[in-house]
Amino acid sequence: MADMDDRAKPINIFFIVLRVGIGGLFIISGTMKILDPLKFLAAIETFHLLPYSIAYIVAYFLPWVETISGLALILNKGQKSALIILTTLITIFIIALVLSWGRGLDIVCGCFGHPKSLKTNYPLILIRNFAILTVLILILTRNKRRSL
Amino acid sequence: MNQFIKETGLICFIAFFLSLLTWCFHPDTPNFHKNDLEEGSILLKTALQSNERVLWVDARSKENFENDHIPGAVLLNEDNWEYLLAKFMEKWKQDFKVIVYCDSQSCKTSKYVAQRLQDELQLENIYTLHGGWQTWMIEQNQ
Repeated sequence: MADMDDRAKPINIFFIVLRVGIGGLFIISGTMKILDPLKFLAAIETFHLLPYSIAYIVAYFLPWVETISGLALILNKGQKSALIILTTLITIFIIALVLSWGRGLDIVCGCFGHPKSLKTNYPLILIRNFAILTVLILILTRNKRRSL
Repeated sequence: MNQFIKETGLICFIAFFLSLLTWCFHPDTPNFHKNDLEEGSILLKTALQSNERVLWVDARSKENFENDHIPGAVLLNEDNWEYLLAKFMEKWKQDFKVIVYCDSQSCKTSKYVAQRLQDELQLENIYTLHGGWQTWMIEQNQ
């Protein structure tokens, strides 16, 4: 029994590191957008998916949802809700990216607030976001298994 | 399920409250009405429809300018003012409407460059592009 607990520890540590890492990533991402809502608003507009008034509200609201959810992950409070919120947000973003790619738009990702390049590297952005989505689902699945 | 709804509701409520505070107190809050112009700014649509000849001035970094810029634009930023000003003067004519742009609406560089051109050369027909380079990109995508 003691041996099984010992074997379980490294994997526990691995998932804690994943959870804290991904939480930190969303805090940084959200904070950068909070500091420059105008730039994030302009980035949303390049997708041509939302009317200006809705994009305006999203530009203020979404970064705080991201940041607070990231914080919830790190503090291990409301973890399940935070994971579901972030998974939903990333999924919606991936769909928006695919739609923009299909329409041939040159978008500004706005992922970390300040785009370095105005040329869109869709494959790179999609790979990055799929990786984040995978990590979120992994943590969510592990939590679900542990609670059963 | 109840716990999930409570936690999600709490996250959204806190986010809403903080986003409201950000909107009230952030120094660079954009206008809610898209086409509300600051003094000395011009909409891209207005600039393109103008009968006057336009000289576009790119106030971004040299790297961004070389990557892409509005066709016919001259680079003029404070990194290398004297040299770039000479280049600007080679292209400028009295009857041109000068429009300065930088990255986006939040960028202040275009205002500084426009102000400096007004102060040093007493230019009158000078504006900053509302929405900056990003508004040009959005226009090109349409």
